[in-house]
Order: sequence, then C-alpha cells, then structure tokens
Amino acid sequence: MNNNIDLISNDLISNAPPIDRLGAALFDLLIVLLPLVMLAIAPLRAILIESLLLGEDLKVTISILLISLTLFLVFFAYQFFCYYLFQSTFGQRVFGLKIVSLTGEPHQLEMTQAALRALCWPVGVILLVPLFAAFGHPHRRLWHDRVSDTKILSFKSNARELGPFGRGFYRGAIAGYWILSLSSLGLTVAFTSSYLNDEKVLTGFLEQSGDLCSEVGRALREWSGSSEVAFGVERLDVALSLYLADNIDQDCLRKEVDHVSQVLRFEDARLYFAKHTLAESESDKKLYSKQLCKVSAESDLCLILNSSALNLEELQKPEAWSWPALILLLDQAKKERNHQFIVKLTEQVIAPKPLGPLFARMRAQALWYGARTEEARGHWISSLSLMSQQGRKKLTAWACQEELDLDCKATNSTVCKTLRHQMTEESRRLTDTNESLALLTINFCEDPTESEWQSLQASLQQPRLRSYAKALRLVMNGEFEKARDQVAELLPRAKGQFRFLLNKLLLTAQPDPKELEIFVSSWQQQEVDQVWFKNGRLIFDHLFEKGQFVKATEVGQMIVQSFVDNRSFAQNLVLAAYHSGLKPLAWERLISYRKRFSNEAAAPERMPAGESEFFIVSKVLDQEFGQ
Amino acid sequence: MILPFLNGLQTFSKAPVTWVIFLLQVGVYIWSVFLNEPSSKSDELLESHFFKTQGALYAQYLETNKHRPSQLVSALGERIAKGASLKSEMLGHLALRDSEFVERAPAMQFKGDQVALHQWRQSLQTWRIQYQKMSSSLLGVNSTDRKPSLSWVTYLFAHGDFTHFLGNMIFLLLLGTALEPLLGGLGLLVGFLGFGIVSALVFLAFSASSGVPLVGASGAVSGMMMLICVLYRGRWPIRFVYWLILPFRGFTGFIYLPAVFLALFWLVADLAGHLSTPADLGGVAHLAHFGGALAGLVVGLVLLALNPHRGQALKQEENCFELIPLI
Repeated sequence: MNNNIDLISNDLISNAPPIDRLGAALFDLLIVLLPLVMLAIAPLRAILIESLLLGEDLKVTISILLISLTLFLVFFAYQFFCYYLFQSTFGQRVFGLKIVSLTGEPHQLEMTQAALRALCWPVGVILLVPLFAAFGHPHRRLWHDRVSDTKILSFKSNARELGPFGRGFYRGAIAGYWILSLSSLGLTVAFTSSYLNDEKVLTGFLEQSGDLCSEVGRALREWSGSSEVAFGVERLDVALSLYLADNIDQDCLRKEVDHVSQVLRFEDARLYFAKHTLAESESDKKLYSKQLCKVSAESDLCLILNSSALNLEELQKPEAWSWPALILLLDQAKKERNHQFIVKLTEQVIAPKPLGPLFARMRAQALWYGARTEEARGHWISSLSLMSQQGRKKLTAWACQEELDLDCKATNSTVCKTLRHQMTEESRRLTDTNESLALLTINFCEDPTESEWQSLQASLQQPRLRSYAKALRLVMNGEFEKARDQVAELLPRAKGQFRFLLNKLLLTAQPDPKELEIFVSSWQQQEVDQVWFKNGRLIFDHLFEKGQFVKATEVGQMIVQSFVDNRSFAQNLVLAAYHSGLKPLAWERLISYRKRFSNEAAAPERMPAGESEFFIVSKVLDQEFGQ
Repeated sequence: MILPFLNGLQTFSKAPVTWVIFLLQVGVYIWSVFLNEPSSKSDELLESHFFKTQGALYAQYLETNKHRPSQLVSALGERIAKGASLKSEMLGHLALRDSEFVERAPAMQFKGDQVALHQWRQSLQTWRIQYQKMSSSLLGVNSTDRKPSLSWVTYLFAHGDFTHFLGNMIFLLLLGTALEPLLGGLGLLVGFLGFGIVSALVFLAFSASSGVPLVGASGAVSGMMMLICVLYRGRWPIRFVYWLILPFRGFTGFIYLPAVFLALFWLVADLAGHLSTPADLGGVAHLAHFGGALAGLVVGLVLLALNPHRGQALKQEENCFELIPLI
C-alpha cells in the first residue's frame, strides 16, 4: 500500500477513474476482442448452426461448450500477454491507464500476477461485482486488482472523487444483488419444472400465450388420461371433436390445424380431415377427402367420409375409432333420425370409454334420442344441469336450440315442461342474442302460460328480441296477420341469423298462397348466400307439407346443389316432382339420389317409416322408366 | 465501432469522381426503392404456409434430384422427408436460393396436399414475376451471367437494403475521397469498376448454382481499402474514429494506427463471417469481398513498383496512440 501512496503522490498520475476503466474495457471488448473472438469461434459457430438446423443435440452441446472454452481462452490469452508484456491492454493504452504491481520494483507485473489478473477479470465481469466495487473501494481496486495485488493508475491528473455513499452501502448492494439473482434463479427453475411436469399448468400457459384456444385448453384439462394432448396429434382430435360438436369456431380449429401441421408430417389423415372440414369450396373438400383416403385408406375418417352406411355390424372395429369419427357418425345418425343406431353406438362403443363432460353429454343426448325413457330423460337433464352448473351457457343454449327445438313436437309435454323451467332459470343469466333466441324457440314449442310469457319478455334486454317474442306469441295464439305485421316491421333491419329466424317465423305464420308467392319471389331476388339457401329449404319444406308440389319442385330445383347430400330433401324432391306430374324430372332426381345414396336403396328396412311413400314412388318410376 | 477516417471527408472539388459515384449510387437507390415497391406485396405473399409447403416440397425434390446444393441442405431435406418437419420453413427459405428448383418446381409433380400445392404454385409464380422486376434481379450478377455482361458493373449500384447501402456509402466516401488525390479521378473510377469486376468473377467462380444475385459495392470498397493499406505501406499511422456507445468523455474519439490495421479489421471480420457461415446459408458474399481485396493488393503493389514515393505526399501525424476526445 505504501507503493501505492508513493505512486499517486506524483502529480502526473492518479488512481484510474472507473469511467476510464469502463471505457478501456469497452474498447477492448468491442474493437479488439470482438473480431478476434469471431474469428476464433468461426468454425465452431458454423458447426453449431448446422447442428441446430439438423437437430443434433449432442453436437449442439459440445459446440456450445467449445465456444465457451474458446471465448475464455481468447480473453485470457489477450489479457495475459498485454498485462505481462506491456502492463496494459490496447484499450487501457487508449485511455491512458497502466497496471502496476504493488509487490515488486519497478512495478512490473510478474507472470503469476498477470495470469491471476487475466483469470479473475472475466469472472468478475460475469458476476457484475466490479460494477459495485469500483465505486465502493477507497482506492478503486476491484476484485481482480486485489487478488493479483495490482493497481491501475491513470497517467492524467484530476482523479475523480470517491462514490457518494459509504462502503457499507456498496456491500449491501452486492449482497442484495446476489440475493435477487439466486432467488430469481430458484424461481425460474421451480416454474420451469412445474411447466414441464404439470400438463395442466402447461395447457394454461399455452392458452395464455395464445397457442391454444381456451375451449380446447379447457377440454384438455377436463379429459382424463390424455397425456400428450398439448403437443401431439391428440390435440387435433380434441379440437376436431369440439368443432364437430359446435363448441369451438372455425378460427379456433384453424389455429389448431396450423399448430399441428408444424408438428405433424406433411401428409396425415387427421390433418387432411381437419382441412376437409375447414375447406370452403366443394372441390377442395373432395380433393382433401380423396387425399385422406390416399394417405390412409383404412382410416375411420376415410370410411366415414366415403360411406353412408350406418349399420354398426358393418363397421370394422368401431371401438378403435377416433373421437371425431364417432362424433361425425353420431351427427350423421342424428340428422337421419336413426335413433337405434345412436343407442347401439353409444352403448357398445362410446359408453365403455373414459368420458369427459363433453361425451357424457353426448351419451345422454344419444340415449335420449334413442329411447324416450325416464332414465334417458334423467341422464339428459343431469347432463344439462352439469353444464349449467359449470357456467357453460353456450353449450346449454346450443342444446336447447339444436336438440329440443328439433324434437319439441314429438316430446312428452311433462318432460318439456321440466326442461323449460330449467331453461327459464338459466335464461336469467343469458344475455347473448342467440342464446335468448334459443330460449324463445323452446318456449314457443312449450305453450307457456301468459304470466310466463310476460316474465320472459321482461327478461329480454334488446327491443328487437322483445318484438320477436311478441310475434312468436301472436303466432301461437293463431293471430297470424298481426304476427306478420310484427315481423314485417323487424325484417328491414334484420341481418344474418336473426333474419333467418324471422323468415322461419313468417312461414310458420301460415301465409296464404298469394302471400307465399310474394315471399318466394322476394326470396329469389335476394343475394345468393348461405342464408338464401337455408330460407329456400324452409320454403321448399313448407310448400311440400302444404301439398303445393309444382311450386315446391320449382324451389327445390333452385336449391338442390346445396342440399345434394341431404337424403330427406332428395327424397322429397323426387316426390314433389312426381306429384307435379313431372315424371321425367322425378326419374332424373331418383337416379341422382341412388347414385349418392346407393347403400340405402339396397337396405330399405333401415329407412324411417315416413319414407314408405318414396319407396312406392320409386317402384312406380322404376317400372315406367327402368326399361 | 471503429471506422477509418483518414483525412476526413473531402469536398467535391478535391474528389469529384468519388462524389459523382456516390450521387449515382444515391440515385439508383432511390430508383430501386420505387421499383421494389411490389416486394412488400411479395413478402406478404411468401408468409404463412408458403415456406412450410415449399420446405416439404423441396425435400421431395432433393430426394429425387441428383443435383444437391450442399451437404447441409441435403441432410436437412432427408430429415424433413423422414418426418422431422420442424425445420421445413427454413428449408423452404433455402429452396429459393436454388435457381434450378425455382425454375423447375412449378411444373413438377409432388405428393401431398394438392390444395396447398396449388396455392404454393400460384404464390411462387407471382413472386417470380415480381422478383424479376426488382432492382437486385435487374442489376445484380446472377449465376447465369458467365459471359461478359453489363451486370458485372451494374451490380455495384444495387443494394439489398438501406443498412447495406449506408454501410457501403460511408466507406466509399471515406476511402474514395482519400484515394482520389493519390490516383486521380480516372484512376479511382477505373479502380472502383475494376475491383468490382474482379469481385463479380470470384463470385461466379464459387457460386455455381446460387439463385441469389450478387449486389452491392462492397467488393469494390474492399479493393479500395486494400489499396490504401498498400499505398500507406503501414509506415504511417492513419486516423480512425471510434465510438463506444456510451455518452461519456473519451468514449468517442480519434485514434492513430498503422494502415495495416485497416486491412486486419476488414479482412478478419470477412474471414470470420466466411468461416462461420455454413454453405448456402449466408447472406454476404465474403468470397467476393476477398476477390476485391486481392485485386486492390495487386494494384497497390504494381503502383508502388512503378512509383515508390506514391502516397507520401500526404503528411501524416506520427504520434501513434494519441487520443483526441471529441466529447
């Protein structure tokens, strides 16, 4: 220390200011060492990049270790030689600094001192200790200065003052830094391991980061025994199942498809199935269907896309089928009202599987459709209660709209009443338009009391919904003219789904033939879109039911391209044409029907009772045109 | 950061040819900005599934095609063909560098998602049309330009992006205005174009089937830099300006170092870049830089042999390592 005092007594030299030392370090790092290091690690960096691209983990690890070692060696060698030979690095010379030994004369560094200093410097920089110590030490000697018993002097006057705080403050700051570093390291390790070990946490994390739709994430959490669903192909199964059961929208499924297509191979049956589901044009759908079967001709999805057979005995190993295939099968059976098949499939295939809430509901639904027994009703009601308890309003409303509405006429009134009361309870929490409309539709089927109507109307938030409810009530009371006036007020402002519902109501309000004519012509003038076809189907059904076959055939011909896959429509169109006296057209439609539904022609016993007329007409047409 | 500052930036009257080249470069750059406007559309076009699809298709192409661009690309293709599709996007990017693939692929038959393939073909076709209109394609040296072509010179005036342009222009002005008083205007112009042509030839010799054209004045600048190193012969320190990022006194300033340091700074960075970039992955034509530098070295030695006193006319400070703080 005496040497030090001697040295700084000279006017020309002083303790090196920390800011100059920082400048010298930056100069060395950015200008001298950076290009040297880049050159030294260049071959290793090339290997690292290649290994990363090829996914060779061992090579990556070895390259990183070798790069670290090379970095350290370059740093060490540069500083050691500079210290030992010149008593300063390049940067220190630029900033007028010089290292002196405090142990020997004439302050030349010994080899061990230079080596020790060069060894400690990078360690000190990495641990950030010098940043605090530089200001705290009375003679601005840093860790590596003290270990090597050296000191840096500036060959300039005006050495700077010590830091503004006492030594204790800096020691406290160093201690605080270490505590913070170690605790944050511990927390990072803990969080990382929890993400890796707990799939539920991982799923939540993926949801938060936007890599997973919340509905899919929820299903993943709820379904037991799905160990790799967050990453693998099962995730697509879940998303597809949810989509097919109307629980997620297209965007969500598209996001999942995008994610999974990065993980899966380019060609995969499930991926093609998802793309087929999302495809907008019929040609794309056909192409995907073809490709799916090309990739995996034996897959359940290929079978289901290319066959309309619903005989369970004919299906090969349906117990091994994927959930999307089963849902699709159920959906198809539901559309065709093949309750027997639904019950069979549910009991033999779905029931033995470990079910999550979604499939428990589907099972209850299928049982209810299959057999209107008290037991099935109990299952169905408890499933709906479970959904409402979970706050799954969308599912509950969907169930009301799609299922109860469909069968409300055939439903036992006691059962309907129970359900309606349950739904009314639920309705107090419903504010969304579609859900409220679903509720109204249910009540429309159930013939509610006047006080219940008033209570329901009061619970509706939107004026247009109140008007709609009023129109519904008028229809139920047989006051069709007033109902049509009410709807006519709403129609000009209505769009999308609401407009569709209003049109549906208009048709229900028993229009006379003249009014129907006006309605049909106004419908024809509208822009052709999905709603246009839906409304056309409603008109067709209405005309067909009313026995106006000529008009029904005309409307049916206009919309046939959109309902080519619908069996009941195809049959009714044949019948309508036949009854209109347009037998060649009926024969033409029958041929295309058979082409599309060839299996049904060979298995008439599976046809619903209502199709018997079609069966007879088919035979008549066969006799007349078959030759 | 450290830059050679030499005698500072000379005015138009002292180095008119350098300034004319610079103004020409600025003009071409502005023209290319307007010309490349569709590139933003083509970038949008190439986003999303394009590269993933292209990666998968390129892997199929590599499987059936004898021509393999490099070992890395082939290995990547093999892995993707076996199902490791995580890197398919990267391979899709690399595929655009294979001119043969880009040329032939749209007409080829591939396995896979035919809808995606159809979209990919449309996107690639649109991209090709737009790419052919871009300045780098019009002015750059393509691997097919084997015979003497105007592109051997025009590529010196096209740049990939603004940072590329800015970097080259800083060096062009600093080095060009220092060299012009030594060589004369005509000498500088011949040197600039000559070094550029040598760079282009080196690029063509080592980039057999690259689909990426060579652009930028870096090769010519390398030649000028090496010429300065030789003319100053390492005997006289030349002035550099450095900047250490932080705004403190002494963190920005001038420093005087032997001219050989200029070559070291430049060539070490280039050598490191060349060695650390796997074949087919890099975006910088390091070998073209070396070609330009070699040409500069040869020309410098020839000039010295003809006139040993060349370069001494400019007086230099001899106090090496002196620091002149700017702040």
